[in-house]
Amino acid sequence: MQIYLPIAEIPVDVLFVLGASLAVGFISGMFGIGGGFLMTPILIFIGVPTAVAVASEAPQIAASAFTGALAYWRRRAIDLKLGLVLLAGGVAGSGLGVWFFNAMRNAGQLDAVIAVAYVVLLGAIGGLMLVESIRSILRRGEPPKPKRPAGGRGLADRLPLKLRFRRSMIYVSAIPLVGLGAFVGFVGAVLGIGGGFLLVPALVYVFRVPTAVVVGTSLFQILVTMLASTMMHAVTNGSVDILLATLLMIGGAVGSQFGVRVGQKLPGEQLRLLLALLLLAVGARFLHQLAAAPDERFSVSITERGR
Amino acid sequence: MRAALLLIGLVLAPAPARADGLLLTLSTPKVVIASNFQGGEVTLFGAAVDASGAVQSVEDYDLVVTTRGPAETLTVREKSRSHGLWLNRSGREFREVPYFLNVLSSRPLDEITDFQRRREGGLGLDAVAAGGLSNALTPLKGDDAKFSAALRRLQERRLLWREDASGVEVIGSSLFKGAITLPPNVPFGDFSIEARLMRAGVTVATGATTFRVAKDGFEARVAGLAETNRAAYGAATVALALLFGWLASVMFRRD
Repeated sequence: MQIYLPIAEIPVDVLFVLGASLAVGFISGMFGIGGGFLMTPILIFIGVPTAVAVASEAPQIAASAFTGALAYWRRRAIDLKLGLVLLAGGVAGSGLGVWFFNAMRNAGQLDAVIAVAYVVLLGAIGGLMLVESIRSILRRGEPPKPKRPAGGRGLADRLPLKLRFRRSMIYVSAIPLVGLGAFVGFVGAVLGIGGGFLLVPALVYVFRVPTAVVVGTSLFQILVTMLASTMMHAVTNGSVDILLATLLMIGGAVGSQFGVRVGQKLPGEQLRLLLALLLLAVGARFLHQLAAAPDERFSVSITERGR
Repeated sequence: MRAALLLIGLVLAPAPARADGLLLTLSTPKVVIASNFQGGEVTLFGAAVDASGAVQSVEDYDLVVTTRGPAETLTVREKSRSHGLWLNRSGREFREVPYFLNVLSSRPLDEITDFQRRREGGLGLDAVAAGGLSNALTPLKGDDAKFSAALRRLQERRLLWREDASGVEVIGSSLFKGAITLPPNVPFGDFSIEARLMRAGVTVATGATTFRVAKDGFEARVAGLAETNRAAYGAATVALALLFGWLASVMFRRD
């Protein structure tokens, strides 16, 4: 069943889009990630213009982040103060990201920038997670070692503007947190992803935020950043396809419910191992796209649209 | 003497009726893109007439029907390898070329008229592509020709450009028709059709008509809102996302 997308200006197969968003929703529910890094490339692959794919994926990520954030809110597992500090950077970052996105598109380098970013980010995070999860699977049974370095004072601890986050039980400078938020917001706007796979490890490993609050806080930050990103893409480019976004939201919401159930049955380190392999696989696909000789070296794009 | 007689004979002979105008009509003046749009077709019907309006035979003539969609500036880029990566390195801009282009004719274009006239009249895909790059009526050189050929190839692959040397069909001796195929990804806007009646490589009559490709009510309203009332459209999308997120949370609540 074909349906014509009013902004993307192409017909797409409704069942394919719903099926893909269901599958990505399942994976995102299983691993507690947004799934944007999977869905955006799929949309580009079926012919949706990159700008429309990235912009229409943002409201879907926001919707699924909102569902998750509500659940964590009920369990009081969101550090609002930490979330707001991250957001201060996040909104600025995504504004910069939308600007960068448009500049790269005009220069004809958008697809290459996106591919390089995917290779670097997915490769780095996937690699780190792979090593970490294999280690913890091998070490299973042994008592976990205390992770917090005794009295270790890194650069981040010496920065000014220290804030106390009671729910997260951390006392750190606001500067690296705002910087982290800005980086995630920037990357999210450029790549059409929520950035949960960047934010969660950073908060856990760098800032030592307890796992219990990290996911909820990350979802809160992703929710607001993606809502802002939706607004900015709509206002600056008019590239949000509300019909496409609706299809993605339906599939994503249903799929993630089943994913969550499967995810809860799997042990954490196995889940992280699977996610690491998934990240590396997607990264490898983009590396292949960059490194392999293309079938068609030429491409055509519309420079100025006389609307 | 014989030559003079021949000349007088030619002058005195009754002038054969000559086609010097084209009458055109379309199967539809408007193609509507609704949510189930999967491509369409517009058929052009035409006849040649003389100065008095009487229908004339087109059997001894060539016909070329060119349909142009909205003009755009198109950028063609070429990837090349650098530091192991394939990146867009060079490109050309083609100004004011139709994003949709359909050229139907009764014979192959290079048999109908010569290169120079094809370039001047923008007849055929190659002539249009080259015309977007430069107005010089000489063959493109080096890289320009490569990009021009790439533009034609890519647009043809996307079914947006098409050249059919048997696309104009003559019915009987004086009527002709041509079917213009619109692919699913057809751009919307005003389309112009130009029909040329040609003989010995020279255009003897032309006719023109237009049709419109428009979005259907719902699609048009969505696209219009996204373009003109951007903030409200963005806010509506945001509200929809929150509604969906909340609904999913209520429907699938497990705690």
